[in-house]
Amino acid sequence: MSELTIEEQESVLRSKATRNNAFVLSNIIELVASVIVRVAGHDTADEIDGETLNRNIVSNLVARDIKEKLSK
Amino acid sequence: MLNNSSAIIGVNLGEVLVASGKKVTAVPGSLIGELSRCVENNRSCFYDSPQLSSEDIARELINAASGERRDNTYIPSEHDSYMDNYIEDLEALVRQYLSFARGVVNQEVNALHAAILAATDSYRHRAPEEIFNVSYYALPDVFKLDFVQSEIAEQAESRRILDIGHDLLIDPAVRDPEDDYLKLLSSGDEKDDILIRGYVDSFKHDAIRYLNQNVNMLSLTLPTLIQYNFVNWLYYRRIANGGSVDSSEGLSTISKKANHNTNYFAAALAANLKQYKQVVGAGVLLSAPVGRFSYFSEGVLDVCVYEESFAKLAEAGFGIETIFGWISQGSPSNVPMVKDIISDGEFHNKNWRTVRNLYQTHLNSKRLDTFKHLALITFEASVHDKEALTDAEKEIIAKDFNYTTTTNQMVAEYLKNITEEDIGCPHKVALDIVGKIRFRFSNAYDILCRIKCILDEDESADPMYAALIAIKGYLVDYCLEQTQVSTGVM
Repeated sequence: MSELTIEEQESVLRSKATRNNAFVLSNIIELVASVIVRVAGHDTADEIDGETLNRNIVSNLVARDIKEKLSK
Repeated sequence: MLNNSSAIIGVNLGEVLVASGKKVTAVPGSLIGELSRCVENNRSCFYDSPQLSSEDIARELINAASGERRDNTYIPSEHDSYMDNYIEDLEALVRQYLSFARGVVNQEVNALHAAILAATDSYRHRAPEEIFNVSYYALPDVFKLDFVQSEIAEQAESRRILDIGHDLLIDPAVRDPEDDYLKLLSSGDEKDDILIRGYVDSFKHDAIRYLNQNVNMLSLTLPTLIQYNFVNWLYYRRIANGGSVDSSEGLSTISKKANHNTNYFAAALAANLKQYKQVVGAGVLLSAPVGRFSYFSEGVLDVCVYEESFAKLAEAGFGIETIFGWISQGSPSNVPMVKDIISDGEFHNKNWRTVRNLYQTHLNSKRLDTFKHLALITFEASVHDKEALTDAEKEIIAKDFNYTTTTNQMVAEYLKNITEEDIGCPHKVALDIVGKIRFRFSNAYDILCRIKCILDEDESADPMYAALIAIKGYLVDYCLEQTQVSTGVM
């Protein structure tokens, strides 16, 4: 790491910090989205009652919830 | 296993938190802690490089969480086992929660809500304007009929007959206003009779009384005096013109009485119509004094307004509230003139606003107390019968004999503190009582409140959609409770 420039060292540290956060966050997103999709009755949910609640949408909704709560 | 979207979204969010100086770690040994550990432990999947993109990091996470492929067989990773089991367990739990919240608790909320509404409906308090029974009087079109105008006019100057009085009434022997009493009042012209029927129908119960009994004239106002004299005039007119009557008296006596009474009532009617013209011409506003006003009284004040005079009041920019304001000043024993009301119109309007507000304040305080009392007795009645309790409650009560007593005490305490604003939303009150207090051993209140928030924002949302969004929020909170956030660390 000492052969790297200051900017490169900071970039490495940022990536590590991002990865560390993502260990927790990606698991929460995966867990909650999977449960919602299964409760909705669709394993690869495309739509639920006309509302678009596929896995991707639910995952983004979960991320938005987490961001809102952690911003407080 | 980590899905591609979970990984990339997780990494993007992780990056955002790093930018705001936040670090998220999982509580060791918790559900999220175990899942994170499974990924984190596969250190060989991670490379520290300044050129790492978000997609690179996401791919690392996916690889770290995944199992192995050997000879076309997938061997699940530790992460796979944990994740699959947790998803299965949480799915079953969430289905239970939703079923209980929506299928059991929400039914009880709706039942209590309906019961509270039914109870409070029968205790409806009067609005301030309902203290007054307002009617508007204008001379009916029947007095424009040719035969009415000409025959009444003939008796207009007959003061003497009024002094003599009328003969004893010939009993029409009609008691039921639903009978065809109109045949007794027939004018002889079918077209005219339609107008007569329309007028007399508007006071048909009184019409029967006017024909059957000696009425105390002093108890009648000018509009009712006109009604009284009109029906009697028509009645005797028909007999005088040869109409049949059920009487034991001789034909000549009947004819003499009928003629005399016809002239008498025509003269009385002529005097009434002349008086009516004089009072509205002078601007008299009400047909009779109103009586003492008090908004604490249970009675109703009859207010009969002359339409023609009211039109003058309206032209000056005032309305019925101005009259209410005049009445509520004290005990008016006279009838007001339009010009007097107009000259103090703003004062009367202001007076009514003040009185109305005072009454409304008194009403609101009474309404609030009534609501609290009714809500409490309605709730206690709903849980009094042990058979009405749900199985879940019976289980709780079996372990805690004081559960119901404590519940009732908590409900009484809750209702003590509700406000005017709360009684405007009885469903919320029912939700608090049933969800938060009666079923406090469950998480149904939390879930139902979340669902309610979503449906309040979008009334057209599908209830199942709202339930799923609510559960999503519930699960996110559950997971975040297993994490710690620190700041200023990278």
